[in-house]
Amino acid sequence: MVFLRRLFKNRKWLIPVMFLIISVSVVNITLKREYVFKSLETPLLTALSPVQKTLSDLGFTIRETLNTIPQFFYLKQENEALKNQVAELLQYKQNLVEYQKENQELRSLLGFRNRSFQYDLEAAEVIARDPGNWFNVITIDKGESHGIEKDMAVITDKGLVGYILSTTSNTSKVMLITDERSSVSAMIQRTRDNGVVKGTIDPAPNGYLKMVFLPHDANLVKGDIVISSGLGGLIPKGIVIGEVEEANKESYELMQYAIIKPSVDFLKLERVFVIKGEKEAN
Amino acid sequence: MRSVCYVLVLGALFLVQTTLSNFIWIFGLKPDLPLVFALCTAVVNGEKAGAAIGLLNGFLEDIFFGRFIGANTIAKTIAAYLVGYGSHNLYKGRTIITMVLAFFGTFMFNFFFVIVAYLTGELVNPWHQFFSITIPSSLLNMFISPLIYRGVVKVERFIDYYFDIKY
Repeated sequence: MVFLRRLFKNRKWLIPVMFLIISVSVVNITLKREYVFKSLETPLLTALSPVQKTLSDLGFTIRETLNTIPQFFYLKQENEALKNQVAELLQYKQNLVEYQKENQELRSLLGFRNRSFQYDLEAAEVIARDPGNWFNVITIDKGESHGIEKDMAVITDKGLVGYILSTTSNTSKVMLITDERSSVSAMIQRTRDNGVVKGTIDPAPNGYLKMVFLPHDANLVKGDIVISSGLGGLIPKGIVIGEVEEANKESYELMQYAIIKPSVDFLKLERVFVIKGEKEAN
Repeated sequence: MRSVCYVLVLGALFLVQTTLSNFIWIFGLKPDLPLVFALCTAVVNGEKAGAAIGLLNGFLEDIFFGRFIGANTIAKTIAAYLVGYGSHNLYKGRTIITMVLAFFGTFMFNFFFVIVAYLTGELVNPWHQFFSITIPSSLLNMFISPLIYRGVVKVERFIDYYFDIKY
């Protein structure tokens, strides 16, 4: 009793102790009861997202304008190069359509369900980014009212961006694949070796990914494309994640790991697509 | 009125940080404007004001980008409080002192952030990259701190002139 009376008299200690107790309680409650966190999150995100969207648009416009100025000098050359690229890609597209038809015929002959690589996509804009340096989370301007749900995959034309962490009616938080907490089932496209792509963890340098649980005899070379394997059911199969930068044996030699350079430039992320589902194959 | 002004400035900095920080990536890291603002507020107005700004800033970050309330809220509150408490007997206003305090405050923020994130299971093995994230971000914050410090002093003068002295 005397101790407690002294403790309460000495307010210098009381404030840090109270702060500690309150902090631990708040962490505990919001961590274990998602609805408590959501009830705080939803009104704030809904109220501030229009301002964030406006500011974000302004930022992108400024950056695009600044990037456009030096490009004026290269426009003619770039135009020529793009025309050649379009011609080449059209040829590829013709071949792909042929292969797709052939693949569908063969699958139906073998009695396999036809797979579709066409997705039901929802376009969204990045309106905010995690200001810290430890986690990689972005906010997009589409949410539950647009049919977006937790764990849906988020992509760009370059490849996989991440997956939905949580949603409100008009916004969603997306955990990027570079986040240390992220984990995606993946495979090496050439060798079909399976593994798990983790975020930026040791020894991957900042902005790179680490692919773990690769077989010790997997023949990996620099530049091998890494795609999602579809295992786990969250991320559809076949989405490009990045390419192998280097491969090394784990210290106990039973497994290999690879450092992956993501195909998406996360620093310039502006528009993304959320995969809401697969379109039915014809 | 003073509190309202500080909250408005913090809100503006938070919005700038979360939407326009794409422009200020340096070596894959970015300076934390609201944190530096909280640290400078702690230097100018004392540990309680700094801790309050740190708490509000951390709370906003946890709500907007986290999965629970705590990691940023606790770390930023403690960092700002420590900086305010540690700067009691220092000669304020000297650039070098502001910079050293901003470095120390950011270091403390990262330290407490990692502890909370580790205890809650958000970070599994954070210590391997603790220094590679903490040192560059502390340096970045250190270099922008004189600018933000001047801003805080101007806010103080503005409040003194328009609200405390004039009326």
